[in-house]
Amino acid sequence: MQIYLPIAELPVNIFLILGLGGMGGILAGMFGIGGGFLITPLLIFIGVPPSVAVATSTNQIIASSFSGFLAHLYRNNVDIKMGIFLMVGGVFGADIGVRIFTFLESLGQIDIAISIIYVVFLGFIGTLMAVESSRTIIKQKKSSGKSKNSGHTGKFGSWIKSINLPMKAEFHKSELEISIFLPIIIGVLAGIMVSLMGIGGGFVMIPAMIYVLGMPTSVVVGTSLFQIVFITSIVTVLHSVNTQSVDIVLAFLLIIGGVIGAQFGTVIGLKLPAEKLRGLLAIIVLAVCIKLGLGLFIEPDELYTIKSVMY
Amino acid sequence: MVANLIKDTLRYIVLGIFMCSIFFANDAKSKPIVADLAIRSVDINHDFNGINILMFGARNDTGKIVVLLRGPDRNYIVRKKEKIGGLLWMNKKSVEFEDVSSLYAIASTNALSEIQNDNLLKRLEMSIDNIEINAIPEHHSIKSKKTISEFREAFKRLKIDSGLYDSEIQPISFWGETLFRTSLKFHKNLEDGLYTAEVYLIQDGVLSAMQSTPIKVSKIGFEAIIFDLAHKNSLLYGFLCVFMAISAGWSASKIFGRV
Repeated sequence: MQIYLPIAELPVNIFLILGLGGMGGILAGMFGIGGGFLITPLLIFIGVPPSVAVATSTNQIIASSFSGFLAHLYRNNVDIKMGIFLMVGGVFGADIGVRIFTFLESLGQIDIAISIIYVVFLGFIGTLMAVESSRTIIKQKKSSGKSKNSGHTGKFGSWIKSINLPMKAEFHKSELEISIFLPIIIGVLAGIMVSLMGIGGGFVMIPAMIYVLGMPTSVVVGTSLFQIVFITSIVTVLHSVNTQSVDIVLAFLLIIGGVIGAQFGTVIGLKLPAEKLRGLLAIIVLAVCIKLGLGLFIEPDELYTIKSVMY
Repeated sequence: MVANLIKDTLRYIVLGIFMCSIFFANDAKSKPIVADLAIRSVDINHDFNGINILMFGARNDTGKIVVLLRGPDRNYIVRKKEKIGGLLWMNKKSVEFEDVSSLYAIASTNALSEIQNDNLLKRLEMSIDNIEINAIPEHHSIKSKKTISEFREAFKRLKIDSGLYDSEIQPISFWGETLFRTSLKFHKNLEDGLYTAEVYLIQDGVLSAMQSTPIKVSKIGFEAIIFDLAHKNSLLYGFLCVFMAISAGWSASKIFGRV
């Protein structure tokens, strides 16, 4: 069944898009990540313009983050105060990111920029995960699996703490007293990633919150979801206004697929061992990275493109 | 099928009546050339697969007839990918062209060379080679004439490839000495806006009469509404997108408990 995407200006098969959203949802359910970083490149592969893929993926993330946030809110796992400072930073980051995005689009370089960022990013993450999961699997085979990873707040974290940033504030929920600039800076970085890549940025923000801020793991996920809901909403509006690249029909289909996929993902995630799951995800990530990377290096069939400009 | 047959039959009846009216009306006789179209407005939705509109008319004088179909003028940016740093393919040079027809088709009773007035052909933009495609001069980068003409050729080629410029000259057929008809091709990729069908009568290389008929092309349907809203009222559209996602997320958490 075909449906026409009004902003991507492309006819697509409804079930293909539902399936893509479903895949994102399965990943979300299995690994507890947003899946935005796979949905964006997969949309590009089926012919959606990269700028539309990024902006629409941002819109899609609002939905899954919001329902996730509600779940954490019911369990009282959200540090609202910390979330607000992350959000303040996120607003600045989002604005910077959308400005860069709009500028690159006016130069005609947004498509390639998105591809390059993704190739670097997926290559890095994929390699890291592949190494990590194969190491764990080998370790488990050698000896009776002894759990590693004890204390958080590594060297980097304590180094950060040693810098005396002004304006300390108390965060009761996280039992912390740190400078408000720390969450703001993390928020800025996350905001830039949201607007340039169409991802929630959770898997950059969450480690940062644990290792840099030293937040207790119990409130980290809920707090980051709180921030993500706001930032993705702001970025969606900014993209709509600046580049008109949010496709509401595409976003809606991805959300529906995602909701259904997440239900399966949770079940699968409970049944398969974690290292194997991570190894599987690493393979998917690297495959997408290679496919996207090849596009950059192979001579295109048509060197010229035309675009009508509206004033 | 039956519906189409009835539609076609009706169209020919209407056409017949119109032809008679042209033929017998004194007014028509006094003008060297008159023409009209079977329909003057086109609604396009996403299923739109192109349309041929019948043009018919009467020539009350001798001469060659040329019909031009042209679309709304647009500015276009043409970009060329080049190999950067010996490995990466990315857009490098770009040229912007100003006020160029987005659609172009031509029909003629004769080969254009038989008109024997190249200046006239050029001035009236008859044939794709004669379409005026002017680059906007830029302050920051001066481009050579060679580059601009290279980009101009690429622009025409892409327009022809996409079907929006028809490189073939369509025939005009006659019923007797006076009545003529031709078919104007609206490709499925056309934009909405105002198009014109222009009929020219040329005698011995001199333009003796012309008539222009507008055709309105509008987008309709759900997709058109969304597209319009996103472009003309983008702030509201952005809020709508956020609202849609928030309510979807909320419903999901109501239905499934968690996602």
